[in-house]
Amino acid sequence: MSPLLLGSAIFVLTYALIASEKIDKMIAALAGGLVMILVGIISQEEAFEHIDFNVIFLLAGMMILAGIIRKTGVFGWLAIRAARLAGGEPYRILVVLCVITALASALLDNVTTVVLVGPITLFLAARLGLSPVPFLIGEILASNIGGAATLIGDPPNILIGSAANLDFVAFLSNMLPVSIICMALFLVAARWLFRGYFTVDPKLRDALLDLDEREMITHPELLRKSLIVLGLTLAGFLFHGILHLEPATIALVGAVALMLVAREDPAEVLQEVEWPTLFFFIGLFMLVAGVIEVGLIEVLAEGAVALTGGDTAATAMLLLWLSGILSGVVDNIPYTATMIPVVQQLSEGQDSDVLWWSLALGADLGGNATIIGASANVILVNLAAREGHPIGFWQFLRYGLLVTVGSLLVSTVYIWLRYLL
Amino acid sequence: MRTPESITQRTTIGEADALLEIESITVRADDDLQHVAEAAGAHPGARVIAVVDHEERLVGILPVQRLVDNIYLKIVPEEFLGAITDVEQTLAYARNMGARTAGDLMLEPLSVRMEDTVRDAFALLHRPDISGLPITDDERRVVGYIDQLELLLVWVRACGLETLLGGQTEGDA
Repeated sequence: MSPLLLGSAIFVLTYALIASEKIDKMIAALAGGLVMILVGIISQEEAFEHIDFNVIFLLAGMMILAGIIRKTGVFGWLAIRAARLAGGEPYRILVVLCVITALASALLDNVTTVVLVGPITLFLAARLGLSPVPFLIGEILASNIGGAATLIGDPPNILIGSAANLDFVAFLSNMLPVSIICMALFLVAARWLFRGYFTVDPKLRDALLDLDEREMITHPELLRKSLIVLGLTLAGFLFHGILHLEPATIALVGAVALMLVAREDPAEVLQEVEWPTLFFFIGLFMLVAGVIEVGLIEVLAEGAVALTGGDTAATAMLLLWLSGILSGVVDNIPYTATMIPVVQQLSEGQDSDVLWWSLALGADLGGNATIIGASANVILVNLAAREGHPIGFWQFLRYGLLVTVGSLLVSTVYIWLRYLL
Repeated sequence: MRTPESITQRTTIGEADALLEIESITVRADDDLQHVAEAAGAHPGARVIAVVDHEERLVGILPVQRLVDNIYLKIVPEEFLGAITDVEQTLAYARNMGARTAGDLMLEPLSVRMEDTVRDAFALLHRPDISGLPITDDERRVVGYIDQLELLLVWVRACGLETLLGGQTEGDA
C-alpha cells in the first residue's frame, strides 16, 4: 500500500472515530498519531517536532487562570446585578446574559463560560417562572460568536494564530468587528426568534429584588488578585510584539503569577487543567504531521486550487462556507488542525491573511449550527435536559442554522469589503 | 474473649433498633417536595426518608439534608451558586433545580434487614451523605429505621458505659 493511501486511511479512520464518539476523542487522536509513527510514516522526532507547544502551553496557562477565576464568583455577581438592573424584563435579561457569555467566551474557555453562566441562567429563569430554553440557546449562540473575537476565545483561533503568526492584536483588529456585528444582529433578531417566551408575571419580577449579588463573591481577595493578573495577562497579549514574548509564555506567566499571589495549592490548581484536551491536541498534531508527510495536504490544496481556479476571492469564500458547514457537524479542532497546512500552501505568495480569517470565521461561527457543533453547546443542552427542559436537536437547529447562515453571510460581506475589493 | 468490638459487630439490627424509638418516614416516589418536607417534620427523629412505590416497596432513600439543600437553593441561591466551579457541580445543580418529587431527589435504595448486623449497617452508612437507613423485610417493605446514633449506642453499651443510659451489659457481675 502506498504511503499516501496508508496515511490517508489512518487519518480518515481516526477522524471517523473522533466524529462517531465511539471512543474518547483524546484516545482516538493519540492512537492515530502513534499509528503514524508505528507504521513508519513519520519518526518520533518528526512527530514531536510538529507538536505546537505554543498552543499547548497557551491553553494550559489560560485553563489555570480560568480555573482560579471560577472560584471567585465574579461572573455570578455580574449576571445577578445585570439581571436586577434589567428590571426583571426577560428580553433585557436575555441580552445581558448573552453579552456576559460572549465576553466570557472571548477571554476564557467554553467550559468555564458554561460553568459560570449556566447555573445563574437556570436560577434566574426559575425565579421569573420562565422556561430557561431561550436563555440557554441564546448563550450557546453568543458563546460561539464571542469566542471568535480573540486569539484566546476559541481553540481554532489559537491553532491558526500560532501557525500563521497572527497575534492577539491581529485577531482583535480582524475578528472583533465581525463578531460585534454578528452579536448585535443576533440580539436584535432574538426578540423575534424567542418571541413566545417573554411573558412574565409582574409579581415575579420583584422576586429578583430579594437577591443580593454581593453574596455571589465567594473570595473577594482572590477576585481582586485575579482581575489584576488577568488584566496584566491581557495587556501582555496586546503588547507581546514589543515584549518579544510568545502568547504561551504570557499565559504561563499569568498562571504562575496568580498561583503565587493567590497561594493556591498547585496540585489542586493543576486539576483544573483539562489534560485530556491537551493530549487530544498532541495526538492531532502528530496525526497531521503524518498526513503532511504522505502528501495528502498537497492533494487537498491542489483540489482546492482546481475548484477555485486559484482565485483568492473564490478560495476565501470556499474556506469560509466549507468550514462553516463542516464545523456544525464535526469537531472544529481536528478540522482546523487539518486545514492549517492546506491554507499554508494556498497562502504562499499572498499579500493578505484573508484565507486565515476565512478559515477562522468559518470554523468558529459554524459551531452554532447544531447541538454538537461545539463543546459549550453540548454542556448547556445537557444542563437544560437535567433541569427538565430538554432542547431537541431539531428545535435547536431552527435557531442555530438561522444564526449560522446569518453570521456567515455577514462574514462574506465583511471579507469581501475588507480584503477583496 | 468477647470484646466491645466483637459484641458491636455481631449485634443485630433488630437489637440496635430497640435502643431508641425513631419512627421511619415513608413517602411515595411521586409525592411533591412539600409533602415530603411535611412528612419529615412530623417525624423529627429520622434523618433519612424511605421512598416507596405504589406497592410500598423501597425504591430509594432521601436524606433530609438533601431535601433541605434542594429547598434552600431557591431561598438562598447565592450560597449554592457561588460554590459551583466545575461541570459536574453545574450538572448536579441543574438536576436539583428540576427536582419536583421525592423520586427526583432520591438516592439508590440502600437498606438493611432486622437480621443483618451492625457491621453490615456501618458498611452502608460509612458515607457522609447518609446518616440512617430504612429497615426492610424480605419483600423490601419498610418495617423500621436505624440511625447512626443507634450504632453508636450499641458500642457504648458494649463498652459497659451503660450507667449513662441505665441499661445492663453482659460484662456486669
